[in-house]
Amino acid sequence: MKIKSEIRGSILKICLTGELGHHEAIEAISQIKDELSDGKYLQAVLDLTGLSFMDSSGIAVVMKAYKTAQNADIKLAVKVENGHKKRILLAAGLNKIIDFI
Amino acid sequence: MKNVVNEVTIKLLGKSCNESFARSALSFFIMQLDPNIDELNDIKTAVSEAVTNSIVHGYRNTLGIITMNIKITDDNCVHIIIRDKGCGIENISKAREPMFTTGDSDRSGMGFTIMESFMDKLSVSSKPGKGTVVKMVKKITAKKES
Ligand SMILES: Nc1ncnc2c1ncn2[C@@H]1O[C@H](COP(=O)(O)OP(=O)(O)OP(=O)(O)O)[C@@H](O)[C@H]1O
Ligand SMILES: [Mg+2]
Repeated sequence: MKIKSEIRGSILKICLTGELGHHEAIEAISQIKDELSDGKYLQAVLDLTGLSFMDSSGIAVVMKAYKTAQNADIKLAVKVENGHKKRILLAAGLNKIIDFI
Repeated sequence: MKNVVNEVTIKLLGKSCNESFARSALSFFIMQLDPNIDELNDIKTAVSEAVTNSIVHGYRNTLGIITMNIKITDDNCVHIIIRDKGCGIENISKAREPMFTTGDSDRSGMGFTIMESFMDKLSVSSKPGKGTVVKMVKKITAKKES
């Protein structure tokens, strides 16, 4: 798993690539927290489309990103294509609190 | 169960760095059924959930062996058994409820729910103090010859 971020105006895009399971989750959470507290953004996008694999560990990663963003007054959206990753996040009901794009 | 056409058993030390190995070994082995990408991801996810559970819950604070057995049968089904000799589960039906977890804030209690919805069959047996056995089956749709 690797994390890269891009800034476009006031929007921060955090892109995850590789595989996200239990082994990678703690590192992912800490890097995402760093990215989100690294400046002043109004919006952030957590881009999961580059992940070739994700399991239920991704639920906590997205939830923690959401809470960190909320505390920093950043509006967070999650970018994910149809498939297993989206079904996992929907099963946990995350679409009720976070915008999926 | 129909006739077994191929089978593999892998023993893993319950270290989190072996989770991706378990998924890769599984993918490699079931390639012979030519699953589509969704079927492959569903099975990989279910196995990742079961193996992670053995590591995180079964062998919490300890290190033990996890056995993964994969069989392919002539009706195009993948049968997977994940076994640990960890702490076991007190109440299986409670454990299988969505959002139920005994883990920390990194766990969401969705593992069994995901295994159940991504696979055709899921059965869990467990004895406190003895360990847990998770069995799953999924049928791979036959591709049309082109
Ligand atoms: N192999 C196991 N050994 C002991 N207990 C287990 C095992 N697998 C599951 N459990 C118990 O069942 C509960 C539910 O498991 P499930 O996978 O559904 O959720 P979780 O692991 O807590 O969270 P998530 O899978 O979403 O990260 C666990 O919290 C744990 O108490
Ligand atoms: Mg789990």
